[in-house]
Amino acid sequence: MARISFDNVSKLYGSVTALNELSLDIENGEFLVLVGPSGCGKSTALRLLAGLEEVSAGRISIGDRTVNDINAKDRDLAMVFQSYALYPHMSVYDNIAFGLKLRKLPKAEIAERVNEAARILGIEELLKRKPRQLSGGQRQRVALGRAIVRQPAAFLLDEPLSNLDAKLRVQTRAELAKLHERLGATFIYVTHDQVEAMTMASRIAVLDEGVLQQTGTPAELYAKPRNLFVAGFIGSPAMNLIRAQTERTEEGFYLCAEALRLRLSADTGAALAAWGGPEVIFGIRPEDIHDPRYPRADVEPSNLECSVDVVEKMGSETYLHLRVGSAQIVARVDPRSEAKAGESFTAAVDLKNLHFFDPATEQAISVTNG
Amino acid sequence: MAMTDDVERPTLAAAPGSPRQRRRLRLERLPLHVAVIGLALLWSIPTIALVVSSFRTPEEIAGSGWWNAIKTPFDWTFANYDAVLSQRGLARAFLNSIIITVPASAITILVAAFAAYAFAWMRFPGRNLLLLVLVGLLVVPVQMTLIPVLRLYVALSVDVEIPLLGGKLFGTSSYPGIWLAHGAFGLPFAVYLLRNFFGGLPRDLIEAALLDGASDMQVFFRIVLPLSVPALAALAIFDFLWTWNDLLVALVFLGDPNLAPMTLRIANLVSSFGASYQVLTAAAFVSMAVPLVVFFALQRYFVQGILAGSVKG
Repeated sequence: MARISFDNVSKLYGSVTALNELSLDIENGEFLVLVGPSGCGKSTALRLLAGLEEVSAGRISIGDRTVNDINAKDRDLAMVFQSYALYPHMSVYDNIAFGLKLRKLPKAEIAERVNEAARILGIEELLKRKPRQLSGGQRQRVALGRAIVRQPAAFLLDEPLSNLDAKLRVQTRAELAKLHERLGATFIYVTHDQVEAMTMASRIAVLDEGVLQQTGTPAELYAKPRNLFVAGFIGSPAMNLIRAQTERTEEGFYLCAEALRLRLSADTGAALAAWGGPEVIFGIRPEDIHDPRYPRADVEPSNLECSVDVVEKMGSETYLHLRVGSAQIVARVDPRSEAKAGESFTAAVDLKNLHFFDPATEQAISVTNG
Repeated sequence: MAMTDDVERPTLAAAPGSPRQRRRLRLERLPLHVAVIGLALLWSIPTIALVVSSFRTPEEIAGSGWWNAIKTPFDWTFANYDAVLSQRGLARAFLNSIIITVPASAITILVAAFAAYAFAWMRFPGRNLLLLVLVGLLVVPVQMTLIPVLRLYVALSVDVEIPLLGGKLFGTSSYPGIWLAHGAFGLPFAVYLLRNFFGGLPRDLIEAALLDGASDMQVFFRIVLPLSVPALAALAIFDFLWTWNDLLVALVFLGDPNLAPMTLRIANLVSSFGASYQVLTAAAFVSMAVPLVVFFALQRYFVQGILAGSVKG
């Protein structure tokens, strides 16, 4: 077990920069999720750490050891691949024991560790089978078992759930979180799925175009996205982002965009005025837009006139796709809502939780809401 | 991919449901089967003729067509084989063929497998250029290289007799010399074939093994080789046949008639016993028998090799 750190690490493929000056410290025992859209450099970061690719610039260290020039086999890391990468000619037992056999551990200890891992993962009865005789979920467990027996400094997981079906994915997500707790080991997990990141991570690092955008706990990232990309990426359905102008009248501060006109609190207005330019991008999460018939007790809503495009009933909640002028926004409302597609609708917007971004730099503008 | 706990079953042999459907399918495939069987028979006729003739007396061969012998199978004679193996020195030639072919093929396959692994999975400067040059060698005809290599062999000759095997330690008329020649001539194709196969193995597997703590050598022996049995078997068959059937390289590099393989000895039989048709047929069949055994021994893997990847695994 050890602390892992990326220190200004870059990776170039020819003239293409896959990873740009990544600096990131991963504490011992953390469940860190690297998340971002495909091509954002998250897998590259993982492969650099694993030693499967060479660092172009910067330093990667595990504990107090710089590992830039250390071979993959000597880094003491275990990796679970998206394809599981089980050795097809070996039995499940031999797959799991492979790393231990290479380290020339005594046979009895190998057997003990393999059986222990199999017990944790519930695959004891599969040990004699070949990988081709296993289902996807079972293969995934074997791949995990192969990592567990090694008792490595850290577990690297490269989209391990993406080959599973939706139901199994949810189940395995919970099991992985449990496994992390049980082993107390460092997990570094790569995914493009922000739901996986939000549900499992103790900390998330969001990457885009090879650049680290923000790190923080899931709650921090959700509540205070540092820039437009993180705001749009974290959360499902995504945050509604609308370009608007701030207007100051005698009655107070307003946020205006075509048909939209929202009155801001004096504090927020003052903060925006202090920031500068009239043009901003404001963001509002779908759950902060309500059906006024079913208001939340703590909300002091501001009304917004719009029309309903689509109604998606999820059972526990309902998504309304609303149109305000040319802007389209999504609201997550009470399932009892009777809004119908094609009709007009007055949405109740909770102005306490607005997010503002500079349209030029796409960075968040700090306003104290409330 | 099945998500249940059910074992995935290969679907290759799955027959359609009802007997009627099966009958229809069989009828539809009839012309194909007739054509394939017809072609196979047509191609086998010379071989069958050769085998049958090798069991006939010279008078019979001269007197009637080979197919007449099938009518009276008990009339066959082993005299030709006796003559060939005991009197014409073909037994020694047969042994020579084995002495030449087995090590030569082994050298080719082993060196090619190492090289192919390096070309497919190791990073070193000039890798692609080197591979390009090697594959480029495929277009160089063997004939072009014979004289320069022969001169080199004469210059590097080591005139020490090898005990038991016979022949010199190196140079012309030496087994190691011809092993090396065959090995080198076979290498470009062998490397090319194996590199493509090794390169087609999933990258994740190799990387998983590296992260499990395997060195390149361990990856090669424990992962790549066991997964490449079909390709290795195919290459073994090809290379064995080429070396076994080779006349040219043996003719150039083996001056000593005591070291000559079957092909060379049979060629000599043709010139000296051109009229003894029956002896030649027996000799030719002896020469054919070994490749056939090799092929049938390895064909299980060979067929697997052709099918590899066609079934989701």
